[in-house]
Amino acid sequence: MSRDPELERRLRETPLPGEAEAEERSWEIVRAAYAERTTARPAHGRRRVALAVAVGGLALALGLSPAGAKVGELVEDVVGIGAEDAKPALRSLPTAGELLVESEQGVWIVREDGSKRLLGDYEQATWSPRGLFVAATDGYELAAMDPLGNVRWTISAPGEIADPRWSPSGFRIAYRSGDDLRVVAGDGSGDRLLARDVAPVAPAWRPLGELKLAPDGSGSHILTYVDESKKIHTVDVDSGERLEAVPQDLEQLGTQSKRAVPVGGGAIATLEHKQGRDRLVVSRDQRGEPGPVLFSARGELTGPSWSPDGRWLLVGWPEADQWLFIRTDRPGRVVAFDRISEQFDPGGSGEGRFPRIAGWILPQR
Amino acid sequence: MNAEPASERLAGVSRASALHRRREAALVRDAQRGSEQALAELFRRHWRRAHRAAFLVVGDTAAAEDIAQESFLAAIRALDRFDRRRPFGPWLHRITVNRAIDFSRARALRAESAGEAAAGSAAPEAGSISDELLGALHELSAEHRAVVVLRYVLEYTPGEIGELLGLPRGTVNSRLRRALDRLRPAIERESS
Repeated sequence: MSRDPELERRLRETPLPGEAEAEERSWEIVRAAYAERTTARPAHGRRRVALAVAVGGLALALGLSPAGAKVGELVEDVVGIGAEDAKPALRSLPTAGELLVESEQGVWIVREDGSKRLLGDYEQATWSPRGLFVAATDGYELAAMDPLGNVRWTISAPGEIADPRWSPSGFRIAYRSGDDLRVVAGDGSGDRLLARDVAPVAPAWRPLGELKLAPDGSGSHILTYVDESKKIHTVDVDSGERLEAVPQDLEQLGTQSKRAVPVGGGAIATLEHKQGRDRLVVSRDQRGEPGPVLFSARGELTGPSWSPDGRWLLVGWPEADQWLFIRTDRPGRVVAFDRISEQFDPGGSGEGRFPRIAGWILPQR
Repeated sequence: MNAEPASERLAGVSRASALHRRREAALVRDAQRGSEQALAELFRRHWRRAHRAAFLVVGDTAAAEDIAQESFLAAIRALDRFDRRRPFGPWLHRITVNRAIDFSRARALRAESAGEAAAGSAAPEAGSISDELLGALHELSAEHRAVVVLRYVLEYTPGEIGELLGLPRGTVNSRLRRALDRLRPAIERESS
């Protein structure tokens, strides 16, 4: 077969866009994966003790470093679209707990064994803090029900209801109604207006561990929200007192979209979009230093949601129609499930909204 | 002017090639034993060509970066099982090119299922590489592009390409011939 020098020259020598930067990025990933491989091999002789210490340190570091993002089986997941070894159906959750899922067909509960129950044709939902109840929206109505779907109460609001959030105490539910922010007691009583002209951002309750209760019990319902001019407000819902936001309020406020804080805090998982890829970053640094990349994929990822034990993160990958359960303390461990849209919209066109995780909780029933 | 007799030049080339192979085998051995420096040298030697090969097959810089990176990671995972008597490059290139072909096929399938024009979704990104040549390259199938890349970028013989891709040598030659027929007008237009 004859050669073609001009073709060879052009194909070999013409510069490629971004080649040097790509090489640098790839080297960092490859080097990190190699470091993990090296430390995972058995140590010999006098190096054993030193290496054992190093492995321990590295295992921790890998859990928190970009190295952890691309090692083990995980690397198979990031070429193209979808994890290659995804299971064809959601058969079980990788750890204890139950999921609350919003889909085209309604709100579902998924149990640890993978079984699902459709609670009804609702749009958005929130767990009560111990998983005994669910509050769900349906147009201008907010309903509270048990996990079997038996409705305990409903209320109507003047505007379309969105972003319900059950307080950590269990005694309040905040929600948006049109441009208003409203609060209702957990038993459906005392529904009232809290603020007008709020931004379309889910309000956030101060976590239980951050609350400072007064002897009379006040101070147990602190809510942070954003108004339409993007100003952040923190208020004691019961007394109406305006408060300074603490960092945990702001962390919680961010969890309505691309960020999530595990139960008990101590870390933030964030989805970042860079160069056409979404990266799942986990930061355990109180100073907010950029965290490690646990997973990276082309296109958009949704979530993330922490497992109740804080060891797993669940993200959605709509383009691949998959859910990915990503272990946070064991780099490279990913459990993927395929055909997620169909499973939460049986008989549907598959073109509705991609199922969204509204909560992952360990019920205390 | 080169005063070396042809036989000595050939011998020199052969010695250099043998030295290169021995040096590479040593790098693989050292990398197997945990030398990051050896791995870095292997990466430096092979990443750019793997990346270029992937880019020319898939026509997408992000995907090419992924594929080249994944190929190295796959190589690292299999490093302990690697037979050092065999050259590292072809091993890596086989992984890279096959992944690039798989990616292109999967993308074409997705484009079909999404009702998009496959050619449109596979169109190469604009960049400093000749757009006309890339355009012509991407009118070929992924399998044809892979053969072109293995021949003209990675410099394998048709027989070696056949071994790498599991194809008869005649098939490799016919693919190369057909590809050249399609690419030549683009090259000539650009040259003129």
